[in-house]
Amino acid sequence: MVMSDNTWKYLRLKITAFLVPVILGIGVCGAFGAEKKAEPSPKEIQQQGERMYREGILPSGQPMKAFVVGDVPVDGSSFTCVSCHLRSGLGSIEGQVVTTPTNGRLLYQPRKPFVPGSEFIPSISNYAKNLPERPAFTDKSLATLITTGVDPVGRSVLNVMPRYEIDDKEVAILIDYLKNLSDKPSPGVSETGIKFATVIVEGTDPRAVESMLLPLQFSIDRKNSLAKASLKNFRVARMGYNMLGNLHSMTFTLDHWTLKGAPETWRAQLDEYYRKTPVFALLGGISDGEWEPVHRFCEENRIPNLFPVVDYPVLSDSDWYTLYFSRGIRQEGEAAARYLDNMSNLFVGKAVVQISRDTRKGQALAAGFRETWKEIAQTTLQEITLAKGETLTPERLQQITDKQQPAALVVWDDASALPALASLVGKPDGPKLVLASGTYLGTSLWTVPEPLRELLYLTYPYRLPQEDARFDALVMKVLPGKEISDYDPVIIRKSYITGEVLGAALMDMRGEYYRDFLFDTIGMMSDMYYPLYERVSFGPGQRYASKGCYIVQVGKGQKPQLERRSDWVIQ
Amino acid sequence: MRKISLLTLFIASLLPLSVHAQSAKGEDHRVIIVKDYRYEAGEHVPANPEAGQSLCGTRCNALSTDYLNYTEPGGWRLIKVVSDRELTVELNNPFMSGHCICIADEYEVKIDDLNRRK
Amino acid sequence: MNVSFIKTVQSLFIIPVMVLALAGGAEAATTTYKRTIEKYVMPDVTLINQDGKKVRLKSLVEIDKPVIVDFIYGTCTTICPVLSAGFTNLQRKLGPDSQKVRLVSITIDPENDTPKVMKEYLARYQAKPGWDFLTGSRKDIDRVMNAFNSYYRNKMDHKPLTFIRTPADGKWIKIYGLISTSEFMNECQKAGIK
Repeated sequence: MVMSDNTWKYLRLKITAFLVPVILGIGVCGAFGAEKKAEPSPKEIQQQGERMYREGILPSGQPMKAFVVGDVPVDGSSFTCVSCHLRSGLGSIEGQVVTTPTNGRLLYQPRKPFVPGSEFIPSISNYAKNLPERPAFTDKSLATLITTGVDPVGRSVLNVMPRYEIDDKEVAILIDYLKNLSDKPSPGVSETGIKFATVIVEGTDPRAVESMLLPLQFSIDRKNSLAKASLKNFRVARMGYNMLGNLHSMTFTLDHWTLKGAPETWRAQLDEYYRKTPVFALLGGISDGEWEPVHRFCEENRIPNLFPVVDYPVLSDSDWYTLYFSRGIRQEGEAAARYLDNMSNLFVGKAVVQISRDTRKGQALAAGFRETWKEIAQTTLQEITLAKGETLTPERLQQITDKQQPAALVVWDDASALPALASLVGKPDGPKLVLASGTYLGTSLWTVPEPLRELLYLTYPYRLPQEDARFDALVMKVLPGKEISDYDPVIIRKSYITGEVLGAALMDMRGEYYRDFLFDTIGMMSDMYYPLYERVSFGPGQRYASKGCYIVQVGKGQKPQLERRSDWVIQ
Repeated sequence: MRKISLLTLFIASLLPLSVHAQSAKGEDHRVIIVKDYRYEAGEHVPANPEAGQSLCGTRCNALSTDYLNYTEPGGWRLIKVVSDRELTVELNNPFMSGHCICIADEYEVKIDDLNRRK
Repeated sequence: MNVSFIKTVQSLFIIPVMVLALAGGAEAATTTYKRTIEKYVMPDVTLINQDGKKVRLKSLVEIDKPVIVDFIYGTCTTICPVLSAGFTNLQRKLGPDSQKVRLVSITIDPENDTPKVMKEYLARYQAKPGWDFLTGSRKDIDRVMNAFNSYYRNKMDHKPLTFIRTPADGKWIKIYGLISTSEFMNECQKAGIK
């Protein structure tokens, strides 16, 4: 049979692709003969162990298999060590189940129903006294526990702990990983104190920077003054020790890391700051625009960053080291899309038009709306961009709506668009609903022309002002002797939240100051009601605390109130 | 006395601040907490009960209060004054007519007198 | 002393119940879970499933097939993985008849659990058709939790609860605790699942 040239080339390629590894394999085997495969390096063992611990995948690439609650099979792709013992290995408390620490330092010590030196600290002693005594593990007894669930005293541990079906070599790799897990103290922590820093991008409005710094500095100063008072007054010292253990006498520092020049140069500056002062974590931070270089710096150096004040956070489902207030400006667009989609089956076949200004803010809102809409909705989205300097006039708007005949109009623009939107009122064929951003309108939110108020729906990513007033007294506590109106109202409240979450987390950490444990601890916090956001929620791996954004309308009258038209988190 | 004040100072300085709020300009007012809801179709438009029920959920839930939002900042209380009141509100949706019956408990918001600053 | 101080101090005193099963020598022969029969009234709420589809809870649950409900959330660490592994196992045991039983997992973290999160969770547990994961507005989810007498303000406080609805009388078997395969199959059989 005669083959065409192309077919022959294709076949040749396929045969070669098949044979080459075979030949090489034979060659290699031939060369090495009966020699064993090279042992993995210590670094590789750590990586393999980490993969087992965090992903449930064996060095062979297969998922780890186990049995839980007696005879329920479970494999590593569903859940694995990190699920209960958490990333730091220091364990968790969920409902009535206490998962004990699994890092080597604690496993290889005997466990008593108290932590020596912390017998009178309620947060530590109440935790410890419920954990049964056991002698220190050895490599052998630890391997026995992992594979059979029997502890060194012969007791069967709680049936929530899986019994793993892995071989000796694999157990050894895992144990090696555990020995290094949360072993050495994290940088920035010493017996006498914890070092923090905050990142400030040069050129940010000074009032905004001050609003970000003030509550943080207040928390730090307050803490340090207590430590000082403890030195002079033994009663304060004793009370402090009973409440907080060693934390009471530790002093905190907060360095300011100012980033100058172009974002491309920031990484080098951050590396230099860190080289000079290795901090435990970054608190707050502020930038009008870019934040990604800082996010990457934290991710690669495994440095926690709590709540930077940024409008354009880095969005990731898996990055670990930065906790943001929310998904930023974009979140308003996303909420609007979900709100509109919930009624989209009522205007099937009609268009939705999105008009957005060509600024970073306008485009972030548009992207949030567009990408969410694409995921969930059936109706196509028509888009128009307003160039910088171009005002949305009534004529232009008329043109757009005449052409597209949209059921709903989405406008991401500042207050200059309001006259054009007002011209839509009463038009029989006009869009029946207009969505816009409450924050983009700024103070004009309160003076939206009355006829427009029924047509206009706004995103509002905070608790309604009339309700947030109840929380003002809390914010005033970090501004002794100062007027709250001197500061940016949103940022001062954001920074207040940072101080609160940090304080709560440090108290819960039982003296184990590890970076990963900081996030593990925050992840176990319940939903909180702080100033500014209706509700913030946490969870293991969750990195955007406020998930909500209201859709509101402006009420009647000269001093209107905002009225909710949606839930806080719109699904 | 001195011990207590020291303790209070110490605790107040360290703990997350959840202290009593100042007495606000907001006088005592009423809020509702919605327990159930149902949709009733408009007269001139064909009924779409599934969509109506879902949208009434949104409408009634938006009118409802989260009681934790009142009790968490400290210094405020909610006192139930009416149980199971049936409130009829317009669905208020641009694409669908009808109204919603929100079944709610009504509460009066009161400042916690013990913590009211003079 | 204000209320919040007391609350904070109380929160420092955690009182865990199940730490280690100190079985000592022999394993207990009796069941390790509590079982009761309950009557619940389903609220008429519209929830959203892992495909983003709106689902009226009543019509999902009040059907002629057995229904098993549990409360979990996507980033849950300890209890939910075990509950969900139990669901995976049950579906595997039912084989091609996995739709004989309707499995419904309802989130107690509706803030974070979007359809995307829920779909990924179900994929991780190799869910087959017949297992839905539901989210919704916070208030509606609270309403559902209350209907099952399982409201927890703090999702970290939730308990291992599984509910099996028997279509014959519409009553629910409430299982409190984590159960083994054999125990689960036993309960399912009692509820009429073959």
